[in-house]
Amino acid sequence: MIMRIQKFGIDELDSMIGGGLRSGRPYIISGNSGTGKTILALKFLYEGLKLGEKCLYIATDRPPQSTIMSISENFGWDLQSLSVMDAVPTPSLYSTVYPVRDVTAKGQIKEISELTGNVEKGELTMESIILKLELEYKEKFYHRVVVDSFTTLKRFGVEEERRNPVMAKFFRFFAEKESTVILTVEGNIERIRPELILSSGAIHLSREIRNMREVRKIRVLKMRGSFFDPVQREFTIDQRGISIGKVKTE
Amino acid sequence: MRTLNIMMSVPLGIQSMERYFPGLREGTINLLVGEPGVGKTILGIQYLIDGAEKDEDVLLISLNESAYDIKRDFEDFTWNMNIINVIDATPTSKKREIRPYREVTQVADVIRMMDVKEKYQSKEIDVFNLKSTLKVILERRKFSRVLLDSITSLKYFYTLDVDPEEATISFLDFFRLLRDTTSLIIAEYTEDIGNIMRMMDSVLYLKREETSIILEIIKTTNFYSGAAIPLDLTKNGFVIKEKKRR
Repeated sequence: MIMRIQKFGIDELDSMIGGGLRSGRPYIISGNSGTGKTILALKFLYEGLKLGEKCLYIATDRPPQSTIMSISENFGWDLQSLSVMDAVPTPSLYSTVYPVRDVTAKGQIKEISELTGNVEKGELTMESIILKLELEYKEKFYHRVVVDSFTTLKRFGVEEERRNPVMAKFFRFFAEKESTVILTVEGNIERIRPELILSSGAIHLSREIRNMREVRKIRVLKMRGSFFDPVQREFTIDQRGISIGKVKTE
Repeated sequence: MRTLNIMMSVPLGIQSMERYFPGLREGTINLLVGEPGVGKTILGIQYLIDGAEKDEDVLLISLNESAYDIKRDFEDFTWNMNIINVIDATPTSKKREIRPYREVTQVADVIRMMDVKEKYQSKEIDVFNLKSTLKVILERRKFSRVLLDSITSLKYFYTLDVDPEEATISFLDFFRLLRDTTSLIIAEYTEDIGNIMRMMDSVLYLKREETSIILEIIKTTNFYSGAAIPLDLTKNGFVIKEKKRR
């Protein structure tokens, strides 16, 4: 397959990352909670849907339908043809027992338009999601995938000492399938080293309160195969979506 | 002494660099450290290309990105990537369980970048089988320059059931014994290099300062002048940023 460029559809961001993401590679969007990772990741999927690409949203923090509904309402994005997987962990996974039984996990993939109320929850871990998706990919190829959040997912069903190698395997899975995947990762840059190393590119978001005003910032940390722009910029999120400001020269 | 050192130096491949730093000492093991995204792989490949263009046999051992992806990543550069050799030692997702793997047969082989067509390898690789594989390969064939990208990946992702620090050190020890090879080892974080720094002949630190990229010579046994060299990234790789001479 020939490498393609996949855009976010936000001109300033696409140019910061050197035109767009390279297809078939794993990327991360990092930042603390509330910085806008989910919105940015869903913008990437929305852009794909507009081009007729198959897009999958794997949710591990909150049931996907509530997230998708509120975002499509707030921003006016039509996400009806988005496929979703509810991978919100169930309490049994909070034990540290290992993942063999998770192979029976019930994570379902459905189109968001098919979802009405109750969806069976999957007991999903990194390894069981790979197995689940292995089956799914036999029938359908996904151009764009988002795992939100990877930080939640990696905590479950894997012993501490196996975590990093399993993470490597998880990142690699999407590359082998030639899907572009964005994993949202929670935390400061210092705390996300394995993810940063495994990713082909990383976009970092932050948020602070300055003079009683909320200031959001976006920065490209890494972008393999591109002459990216590492300068941090301010951005805003409102009904029009995500807008990135010009660089301020101090 | 100074002349002798310069004669034995293996240049990094950055034009006019000799003014500041003559290069790596032949037959030694050296470290290039810097945060993700700063351009370590680019500088490392530049080092290999410099050798390959002089008809040296050079080798990239890649743990971070598959050979296929590296080839794609360097399409925008003016370099002929086809003249470097590569061992693709990136992990696979194929097997259902990651378990310790103590096989001593070869898990990877050297291929010319030119022949990279397969997207991904499918062997499971860890620090043990990679080391034994490299032994087999490097005893058979002498490479004048080797680039390992990266030791941090090895420590994070290839050391199951072993002490990562010890495994990393014993892995690097092997490179130290290669007398005809000048090795450049990439590491991602300065905090990770405490234990391996003493094994290194030179330590180079690539860092971003606002919009500039600086190559700092942290440690060297070679003659050099100028501890921090400002660089620009171009399609020909890194070049020295023209500034007032220090």
